[in-house]
Amino acid sequence: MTEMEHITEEMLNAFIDQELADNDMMHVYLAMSKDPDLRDRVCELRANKELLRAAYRQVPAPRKYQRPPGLLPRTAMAAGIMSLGVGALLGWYAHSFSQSDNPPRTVARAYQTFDSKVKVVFHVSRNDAAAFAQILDEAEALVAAEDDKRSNNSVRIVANGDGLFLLSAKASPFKDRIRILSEKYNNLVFAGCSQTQKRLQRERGLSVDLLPQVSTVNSGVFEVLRLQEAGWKYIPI
Amino acid sequence: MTLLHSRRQKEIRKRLEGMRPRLYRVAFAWTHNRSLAEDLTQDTLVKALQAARQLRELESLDAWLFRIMSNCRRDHFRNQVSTENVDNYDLVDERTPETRSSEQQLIQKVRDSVEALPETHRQTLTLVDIEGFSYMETASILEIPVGTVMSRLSRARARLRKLLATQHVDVRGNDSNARLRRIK
Repeated sequence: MTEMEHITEEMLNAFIDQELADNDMMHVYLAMSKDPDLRDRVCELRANKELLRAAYRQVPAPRKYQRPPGLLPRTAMAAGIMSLGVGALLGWYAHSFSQSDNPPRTVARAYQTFDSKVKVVFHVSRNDAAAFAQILDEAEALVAAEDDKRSNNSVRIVANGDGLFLLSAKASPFKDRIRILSEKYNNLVFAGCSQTQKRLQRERGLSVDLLPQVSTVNSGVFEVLRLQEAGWKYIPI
Repeated sequence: MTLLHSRRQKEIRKRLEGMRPRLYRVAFAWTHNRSLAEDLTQDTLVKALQAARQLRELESLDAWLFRIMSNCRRDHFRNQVSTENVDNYDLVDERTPETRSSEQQLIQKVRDSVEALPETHRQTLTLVDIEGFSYMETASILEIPVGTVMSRLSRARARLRKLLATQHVDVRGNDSNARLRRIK
């Protein structure tokens, strides 16, 4: 009988991962000293582990974050961090004004410090009418900003999860407001997630028809991610 | 003042962005598809930002993030059944015989073998071997018992060994195409 027969495969794997208790480690070491086959087996396991690690040390660069030739990596990284940082900041800001008792500085007013046109996507994933009302106000303030020559601001409101009910033809308390806003502003777009529609139908038997002004996207989350990648500022509620 | 302005939140945001390369590497090992790996990484970071308040200890951020990614992967799989989009796949093999050195061939063989593993085995193996997570941490990330981690790992490595053998990869150095015994 070889020493290998006393030691299970799981023990050997734990041995090379240094997950065995000291006593068991010593047991394996002793067995290896007596059994050349066991030594070979351990050696092979370790080699495969190293091989696997080496195979993924350098993976293909993400296409969406691939830097143009000549641009320093750190520059690209800094831009990415800034982009995420601005999105996160605005996102947290949206959270903070919805939870504060103090009169909030609006997102639209915050944007008045910027000279360029802005593109903002509001991600509505909760059925929170009060927060949504504020978002509609903010969205209108952004798309209506004509006085200071920023009328080309674009706003998209993407709903998924329970947020979809706010765009429902039957259940939305904002039917008239959404209709008026859609008729008045071409640069304000409402979109609902068809994945959520299917899920609600499948899991809860609910058929949620969207308002006629609301377009449908395959996945709300991926639509939001796609817009973020295209440079849109992200504000979740 | 909200948590947004706290030093802790700033630290979390900084560390989240710093984790992007590690998340992407593992996402790629799980999917072997750049577009899916990018989406999975981005989805994970967005969800982590939204849920950052739930994180109690910064020390556990790494495992917490990978747990979010594991859940994202699961959700994506669930939705994938009816909404598969061919645009998500790399349909063009960018490799050419001229550009594929023996090292690149070896790497590709290993990746092909990993890709052939069952999803649950692939996730367990890559978390332990690529990211170096302990068995306990891996169990926490995948929300399975430690014993399951051990059995999956054992079966994954045994299967990988066979797959590599069919690809004529011999880590003991008998493969004429693969030069493993290199010293930097």
